[in-house]
Amino acid sequence: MAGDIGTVPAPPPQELRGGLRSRLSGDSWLAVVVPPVITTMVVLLIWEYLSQSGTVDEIILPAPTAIVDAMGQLVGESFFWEATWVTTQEAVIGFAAGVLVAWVLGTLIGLFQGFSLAVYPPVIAFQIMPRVALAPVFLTWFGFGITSKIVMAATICFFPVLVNTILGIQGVSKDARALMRSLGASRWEEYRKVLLPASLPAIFASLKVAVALALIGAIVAEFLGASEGMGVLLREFSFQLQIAESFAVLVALSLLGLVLYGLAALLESRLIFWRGR
Amino acid sequence: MGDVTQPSAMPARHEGARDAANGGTGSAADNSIFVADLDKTYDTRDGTVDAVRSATFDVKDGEFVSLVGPSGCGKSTILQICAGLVAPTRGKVDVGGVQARPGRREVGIMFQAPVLLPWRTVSDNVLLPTEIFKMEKKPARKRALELLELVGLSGFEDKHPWELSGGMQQRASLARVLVADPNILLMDEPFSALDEFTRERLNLELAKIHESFGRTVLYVTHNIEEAVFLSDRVVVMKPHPGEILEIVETGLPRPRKLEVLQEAGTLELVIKIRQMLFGHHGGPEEEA
Repeated sequence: MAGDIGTVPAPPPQELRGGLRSRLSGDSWLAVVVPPVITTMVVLLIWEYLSQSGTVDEIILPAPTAIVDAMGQLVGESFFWEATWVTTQEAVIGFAAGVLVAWVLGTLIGLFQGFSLAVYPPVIAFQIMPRVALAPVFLTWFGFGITSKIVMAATICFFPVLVNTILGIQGVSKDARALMRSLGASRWEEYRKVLLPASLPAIFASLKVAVALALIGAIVAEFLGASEGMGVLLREFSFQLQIAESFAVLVALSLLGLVLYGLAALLESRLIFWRGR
Repeated sequence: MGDVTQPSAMPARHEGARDAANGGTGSAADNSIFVADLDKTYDTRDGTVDAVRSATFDVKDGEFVSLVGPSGCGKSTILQICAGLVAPTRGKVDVGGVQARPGRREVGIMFQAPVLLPWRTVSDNVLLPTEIFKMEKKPARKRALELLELVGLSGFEDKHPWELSGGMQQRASLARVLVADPNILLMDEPFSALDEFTRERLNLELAKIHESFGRTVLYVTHNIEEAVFLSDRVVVMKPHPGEILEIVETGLPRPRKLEVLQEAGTLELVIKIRQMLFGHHGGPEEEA
């Protein structure tokens, strides 16, 4: 980041600039933020024009301003917040369950050769199978309620955490393990004091991917059969050709994903202060 | 980083604790290493490899002995066997009066890499052995801080390893190996990854630590000068198969000073060992 803001067209007024600078820690921050914002603005302007001018039918592609209007209406509706809450629960609980199982299984696979030989191949076979195809089965097993969505979310976000847990444990330096052995550390001490912390950076790196996958799992399961949730809203709005509302839910979904990702990233940066060292 | 503190200011050793740590096997006074007819072979796809063949030597109580030789001479293997990390194929290896095994407070091992845990502060890294050995927390912490001062790291105890230079990391590693107060130190090329100046300085400090505490040291290196400077005796080894060529008494005066390296007697010893290893011209022919 060279701190070059030469590409920024009109510099903001002097006093505003000073205020921005102090809050955003300098020009380099602006240089990172401004280009993607410009790209987005340009795309939105073209989009707006295409829709407003009638080049593309408004029913097919509603204008961004129409989507903003729809959002404004939605946030005033309690059913929207109920749907958001349901989907958030499904994704977060599914994420927690998937991560927990993946972490325990990955740890055992990483630690014990015999367990790895017996369990890892079937797990990989399970990964290769398109798990979205399991959604109807889960629906049959766990019903229309929140459970089938949690299971789907957990199933989809499970694998990257598993793989990174295994890699994290197997990637611990031989020297560190030799040191612990030379000290006569028990396997538990070796795990607690070296293997677990050493594998945390890899595990936490996978959590950011996993949280986004959990949301996908929850939505896909809702599409297939549910009575509430953002997936249900999306489906219903689309069926009723309320495309602006559909897009509004989509934006809300993206924001939810962003918040969950941000929380995972925040947790990572707080806990894994030694990452990359 | 000032000079090493004088012996009077050095941390006291825990005499009583050490006897208890001997676990009743062997006498508390026996801090020697005894290796007899040691063989170590590895099975590889191309057949068995003799890493060490019929090695016999000893390190007496309080003595500093180096194993020196080119890569593949089995010097590190011998050290790992002494540490109990690798099992011998044949032969007898007694460390401190009992058969070599890991997990003993009276034996400390130091590796070529500092092996500091990045999520622990420097002082918590130094304290790691005391946790495994279930030593009392408060005195252990006091001792760790004293040792950090001894190795010239006071003020760095709350830093993390990555904030330290390579030389400082290896100093922290030295403090860690000393924290459980072992009588026998096994050191596997501990300073070989460091630059010349740092290594020379740390060698001098190691010599002082050895001289003031009289610990038994088995030191592995491929650097002949270093071996001569530090040791009472140098075990010269050759590769393929790993065998001991000769054991050379240095006879250099203690306390060691860096000037020793410039003296004629020292240079003669270095040249003599080079010739044992590489033939008459004294240069490496095919050092790996």
